[in-house]
Amino acid sequence: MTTNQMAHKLSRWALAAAAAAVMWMPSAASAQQYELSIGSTTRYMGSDSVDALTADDSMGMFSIAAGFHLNQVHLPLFDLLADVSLDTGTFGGTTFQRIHSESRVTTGMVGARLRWTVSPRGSFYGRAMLGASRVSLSLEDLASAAALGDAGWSASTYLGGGVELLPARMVRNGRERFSLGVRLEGGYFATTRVKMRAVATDDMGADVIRLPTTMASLGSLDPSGWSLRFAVVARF
Amino acid sequence: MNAYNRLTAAVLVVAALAALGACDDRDVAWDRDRSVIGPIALKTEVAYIDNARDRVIIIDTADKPRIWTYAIGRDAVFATVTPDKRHLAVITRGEEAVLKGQVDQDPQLWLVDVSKPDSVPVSYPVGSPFDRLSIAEDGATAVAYFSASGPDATGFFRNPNEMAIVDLSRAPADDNPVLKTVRSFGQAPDGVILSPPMVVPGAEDATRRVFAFVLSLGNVTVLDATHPQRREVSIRLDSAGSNVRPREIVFAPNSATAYLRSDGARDILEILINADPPAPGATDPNDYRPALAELGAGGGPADVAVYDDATGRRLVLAVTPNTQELVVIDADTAQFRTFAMDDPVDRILLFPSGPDLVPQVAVLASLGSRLSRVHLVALDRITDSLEPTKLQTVELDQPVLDVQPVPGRELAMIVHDDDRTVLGLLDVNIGSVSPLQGVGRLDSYAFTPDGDYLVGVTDGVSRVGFLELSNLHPSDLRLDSDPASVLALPGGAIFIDHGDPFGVATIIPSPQSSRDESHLLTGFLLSGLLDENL
Repeated sequence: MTTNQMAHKLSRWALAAAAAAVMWMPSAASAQQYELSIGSTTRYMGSDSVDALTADDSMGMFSIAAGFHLNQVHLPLFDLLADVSLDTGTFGGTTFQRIHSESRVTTGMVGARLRWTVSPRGSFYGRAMLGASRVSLSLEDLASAAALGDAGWSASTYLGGGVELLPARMVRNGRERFSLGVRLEGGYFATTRVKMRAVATDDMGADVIRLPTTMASLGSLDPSGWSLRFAVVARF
Repeated sequence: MNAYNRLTAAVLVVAALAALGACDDRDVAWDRDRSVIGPIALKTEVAYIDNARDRVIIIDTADKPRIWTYAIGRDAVFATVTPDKRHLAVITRGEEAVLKGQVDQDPQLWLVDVSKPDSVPVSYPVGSPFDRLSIAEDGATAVAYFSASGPDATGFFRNPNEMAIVDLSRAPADDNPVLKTVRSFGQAPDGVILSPPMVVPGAEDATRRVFAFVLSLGNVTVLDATHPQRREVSIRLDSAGSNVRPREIVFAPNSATAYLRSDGARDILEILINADPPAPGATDPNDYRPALAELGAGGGPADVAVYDDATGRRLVLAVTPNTQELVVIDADTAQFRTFAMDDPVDRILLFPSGPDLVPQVAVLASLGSRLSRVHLVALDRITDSLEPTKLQTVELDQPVLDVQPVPGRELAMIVHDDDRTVLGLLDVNIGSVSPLQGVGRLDSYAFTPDGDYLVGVTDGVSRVGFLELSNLHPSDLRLDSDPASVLALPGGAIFIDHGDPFGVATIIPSPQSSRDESHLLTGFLLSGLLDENL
């Protein structure tokens, strides 16, 4: 390849990159480019690993999410949005009539959403997200107050879709400035299994020399499952 | 329908589907009541049985601790180990399906080969929810039976004289186990004791076999457990007294003889298993008959010991607290010699003790009277009436509540109080007693199998104490939490259970090991819990 050919090829790549940057750059003039939502999620976990901890397989979660309309990307029928979300929730119960368990799952994710606006007051959407989850587990014996627990990270993904209803709208100069509504979404949350070990809690001081400790494996916890999310959403 | 209404309808449909999806109850097994049997010492392993998970949990103490589990049946009620300490035998009561998700399961005996983590436990259908199991020395013959605790809440009828004879060396079959109800004279058995394998002298069948001795008030039943289909033989004890309760049997397997001590009987009953070929055409193929002889202990023996002297002569020692005598009986001739004791002696220990050792000294103690002395009797030529009695009395500062032999050593540990806070170590050769002072009550202790160390723990004290028995040098090791019990495993490791419901144990490779070489193992009773599907 000659130097001239190389320069020509580089310039084509540079042009393509510049075009893409312009496409993705937010426009100051666009309206309702941002979204914020706060809501609750109920996840129904189908994994057998959850049976050892809770009787009803469900987990209530608090959800907060933000969206950003990529209005430079023009797709037929759909709007493209970038999403970021944080969900946290606990589940647990009593097993064998004396082991109380509590597990917390906190998930941070980023992803993309395709929105199909069917009316100014409502739209359908679907989204895919990737992220990481922090899963913690604590077990306590109700008779003796013995306790142990562990925590770990897992890679997570989410695929879901839902509807958005925006009955409250503020319009100024013919353009929507602010909308408030609700969102109902169903989806499936999948995560890698988190291996848990029996890390005992004790009242020894941190500077006390401990015996070399081997922690038994409790197995792996899988909080994957179908979820239903209800949120209040604001667009501005 | 406009677009907004369509959206609202969609919302309702999704919500309804989600509600349906939430109806997923877990198995009822997760709500069982939890209890744990153990720790049970094996060779290098320690076993626990989790009654809620129906699992045997094994902790291997060799090298770095390893944990594995075996699935067994519902509701374990009793567990014991085979004499070689390689197998764990567990009786499970089973379950009657009452709630949705429960499955009917019959009582079974499970034999777990703990030396092979990948092995599958063998289950023998024993038919009834027995709660006791005796295993013979050969590890092949086992008898499951009911304890004297009476009927439990489950079931309708209970036959306390029923037992299951199991050949553990064979797979389950129609003739294994054999269920049998032994002849009863109105009493339920107090216990079943299996003899060591022994050859019936003069019998055409020269194989070594195990005999089960079923003890009940006024009656001993002898059953050939190697041939459980054959009829049992009952021995009435009425002639010895009106309220005779058999308590203790010691065996002389080389002569197929058992010596029975009973409460309420004046003498020791010698039961000699003699050959008695069945008559031609007889329906009962039994080829033996017990021959009985009363050995004149004279005053209601409280303890007996049997040994062979240096010439191979079988001798029986008996102590009779009522008459305050020690009786030495020549088992072959029934001749006896009586020694007057100043104390109501009720405990005999022989030193040295072991299969091929000839005892030289008998330690005699009066536990019931809580006297502050023990006696040492030299056994050499003890039956020779021309020899003076070599009796040495060892005076102690405190009353004697218990005497325990130290395995492999000519030492006995003397317990002076109910709380085991005051102990002494008796050297039976010299007659000296070394007091042991501890930090408190010795709640759990064990001797290492080689007899080199006494290992003990006390509730509320996060230490394990070692006493080197060769020179009585004490040492201890700090623990990370309070201990509950201590085991000295044949493999050499010391296993300290901390009584944690999730399983916490300290594993010390040997009594000489340091903290750095020891391990704390946490959560082993919940090992694999999240991966289990009950």
